[in-house]
Amino acid sequence: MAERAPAPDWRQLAAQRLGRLKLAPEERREVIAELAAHLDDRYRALCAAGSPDPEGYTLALVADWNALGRKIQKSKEDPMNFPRRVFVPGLMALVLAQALMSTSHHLLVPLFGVPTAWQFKWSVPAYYVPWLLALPLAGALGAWLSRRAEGRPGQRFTAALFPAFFAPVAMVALVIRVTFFVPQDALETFNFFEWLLAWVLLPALACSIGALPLLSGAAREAEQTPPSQTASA
Amino acid sequence: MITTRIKKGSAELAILALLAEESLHGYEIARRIEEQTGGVLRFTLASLYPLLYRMEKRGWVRGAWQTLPSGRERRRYELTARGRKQVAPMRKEWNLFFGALHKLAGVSRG
Repeated sequence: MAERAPAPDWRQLAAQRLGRLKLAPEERREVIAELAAHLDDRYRALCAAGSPDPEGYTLALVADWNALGRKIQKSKEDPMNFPRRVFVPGLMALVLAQALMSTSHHLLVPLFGVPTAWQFKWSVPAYYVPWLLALPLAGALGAWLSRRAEGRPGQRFTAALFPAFFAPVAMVALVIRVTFFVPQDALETFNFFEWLLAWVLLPALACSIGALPLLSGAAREAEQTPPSQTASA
Repeated sequence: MITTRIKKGSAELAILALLAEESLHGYEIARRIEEQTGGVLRFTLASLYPLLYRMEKRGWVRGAWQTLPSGRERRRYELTARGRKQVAPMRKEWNLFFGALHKLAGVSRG
């Protein structure tokens, strides 16, 4: 009688096929162990029934591991995760960025004067450069708060960028103002690309620099945690 | 052939009804459902666990790891008090549903 091949390491297989399941480390381990246990039970049942290909039939239980991973993640995820991991930290970063701007404005405008309020040109306001230099702090705060709330690297980065999202929102208000309330000749002094660079792209870069050291850490380690021993022992 | 939507709607009741009898682990839940419904209701691994995790998040079931006599570890699910409260209203709802279908289209529960 031919000897049957040893049972596959179902835990390792599930861990590999599920890939980067974005869950807390302990939760991820549990899910993998549970799926491995299910596969193991199925395999043993097929072996006991004399199946010619128990491994193949067991593997056929899951047609699409990526879809399974997504479904599991969705079913496990707390709906409050987004506000806790992105929105609130991002809002805090934005508040800090605005506070830095106010401080910079308060300290420097008396010295260098006030530029026209809505003309975001290269002749940027006096408080712009110090604000930009301080902006990594706001980015770091957003990323740090998100990491504390177990945010993933992408979520931390998004939270850090909130101060840069403010300008496009303000732009909508600006467009309304320019369209309806500002004399048309004033439009000639406005340069969209300069505005984009000065108030969106450079702030985004500054926030990213602040967030950079905080993008690695707990969540990434969790994703790379190797599964422990096989469940099918 | 029962459509996927109806199956999906009945899946929670099937699990709750099974767990109301005794606590079971995932594989056993799938096996019992298939066996007791003559294969009409069948859970794949991909449909069972996301559903169990959702039910656990709602507080209807609770999973706990247990070591079997064979030494293998399995996560066993049991109904919580909240889950137990769901069973009767869901049964009633499905009875109403099939009763309505029976009146309308002669669908029999037998």
